[in-house]
Amino acid sequence: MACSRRNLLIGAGAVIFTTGVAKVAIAKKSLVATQEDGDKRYGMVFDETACIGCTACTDACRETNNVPEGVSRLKIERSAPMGEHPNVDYTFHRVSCQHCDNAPCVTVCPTGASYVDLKTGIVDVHGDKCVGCGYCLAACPYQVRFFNPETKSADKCNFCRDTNLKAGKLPACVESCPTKALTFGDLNDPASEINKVIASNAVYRSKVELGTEPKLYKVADTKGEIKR
Amino acid sequence: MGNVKLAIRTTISFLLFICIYGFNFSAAAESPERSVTNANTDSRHEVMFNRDSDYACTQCHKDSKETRLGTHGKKAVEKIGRDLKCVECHNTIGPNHRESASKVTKFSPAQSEIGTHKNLLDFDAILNATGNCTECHTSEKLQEKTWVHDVHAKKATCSSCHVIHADGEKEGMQALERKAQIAQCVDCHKDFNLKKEDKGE
Repeated sequence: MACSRRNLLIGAGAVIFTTGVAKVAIAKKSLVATQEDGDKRYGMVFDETACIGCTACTDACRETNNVPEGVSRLKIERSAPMGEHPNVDYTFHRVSCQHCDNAPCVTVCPTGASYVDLKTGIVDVHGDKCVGCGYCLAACPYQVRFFNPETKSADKCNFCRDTNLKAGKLPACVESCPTKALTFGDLNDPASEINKVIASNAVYRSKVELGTEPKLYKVADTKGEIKR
Repeated sequence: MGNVKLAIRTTISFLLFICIYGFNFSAAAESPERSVTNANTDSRHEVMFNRDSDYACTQCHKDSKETRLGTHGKKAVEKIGRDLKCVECHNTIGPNHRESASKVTKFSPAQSEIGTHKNLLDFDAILNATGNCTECHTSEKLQEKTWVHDVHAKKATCSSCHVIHADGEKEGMQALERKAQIAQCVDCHKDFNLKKEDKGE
């Protein structure tokens, strides 16, 4: 008998041990920006030092994704004026979906309408599954969700997944930015432009202490308060 | 006959009464008029400028006065109580103005960042150039209008966005829709950002 009871138990133990370790290793990967699982993980960098607050991105987003007036997927917030004439300055903050790896809006959704697309890492909404309960609007720590008055479902930025990305272009906001304050790309690709920008700038993400693992990185402005 | 005499006398005295009464009315109507004309002749004669200081300018710059009235016409008069003159903005006209107008204050588009086909000026030169405008259009008022004034205070001249000699407000920034205004931001900022990239900065 080649397979004794002792050998079987040892073998089984070895299998459990190795798979367990492997699982821990995979779980650990989600804590770093780059994951080598073959899937894309789209993220964005917003450079506050480059943004001029022209809001061309807001308009481009509205046009590309047919966002009705009164609601918006993307806002640029302007700070109060700082300094005296002629040196008055402002800081600008991007308010839009952060595409969290651990998205609270997805966790609370009772119908599965809100989901993270595993192939791209994009947080999106199945409009036809949404019942309009508004849990996700309340759960989002970044307060970027809204009800689309036309589709009556929860809506938010999806990196132009159905429009520009589908057509092989960059998201509308990135394309429209005159100062190249926005960098979009695959966080899983170590050679991508976005990873270079993250590596060469002091970046931060909003409300990381909540464990949401957002994928919107921001290059902090050199003046004024960081709006987290 | 006595009755007829009496009737005639009464009629005559009645007519006389009416005549005197009527004169009294016309005298009463005339008297205030007279006092008004008296007051007019008493007041000081209003001094008018004999010579229009813009006359010489408009001999060559023919449309300039009309186009200036489009933006700095009625409103300017309301604010300062008189019409503006050419030299109030375009001061320091040199003696050789006809040959080369190198000395006169001009208002042209200029910015502090290098762009393609854009005039370049440093911060001080821009503040100097906008000084004439900001005397009336103070920084406080400009900030109230839009924050964009603040961030360009020393980085672009007023003429970069505004047309001063214009047909009303049909030209320049105010005439544009919100989207077209944003396009103006994109236009300049894209231009000098590309320029920066070309230089490898």
